[in-house]
Amino acid sequence: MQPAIAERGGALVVLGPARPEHIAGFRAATGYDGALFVDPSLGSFREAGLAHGWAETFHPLAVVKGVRAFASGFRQGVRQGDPVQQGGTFVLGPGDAVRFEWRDRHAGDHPDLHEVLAALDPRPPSPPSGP
Amino acid sequence: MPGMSKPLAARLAPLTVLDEEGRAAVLGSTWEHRSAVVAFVRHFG
Repeated sequence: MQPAIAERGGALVVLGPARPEHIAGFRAATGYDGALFVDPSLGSFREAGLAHGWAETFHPLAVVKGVRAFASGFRQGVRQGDPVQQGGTFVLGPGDAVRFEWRDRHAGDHPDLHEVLAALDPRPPSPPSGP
Repeated sequence: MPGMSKPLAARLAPLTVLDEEGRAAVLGSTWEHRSAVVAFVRHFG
């Protein structure tokens, strides 16, 4: 996804509810080499309005998605960070602009990546050519 | 809450996060001059 974001003039920033010493393991596991920070205080997660709790983590839809992922061969590694913190995706800036907001309702709940990329590129569609 | 009237980007911008060396970084510096996809992940691992 990094190249698609860069093509649209944007940046990707990943923020985790973990500690600095967990970053190297995340990079090794994912191959992600871009901007990556942690917030062990969870202050930024709270300010972003992200859900936190066992009910969201073990929401019935999350369990279904987890079973499907397991059946398809995915095995989750050892969790590092807050196990009941939910995530979210935002497109912010430049400055105070808020172009896209998504807050995961439960584990496995993610935004449509096309919508995320579209929020980065607010150029209007080209006018039709011809007479 | 007085801060709630500000847009989300403005509320998040002054917060500090940590890099892999444990150094503090101002979160808003990442989208100050260009748009950024800010992905809050649930956990590492």
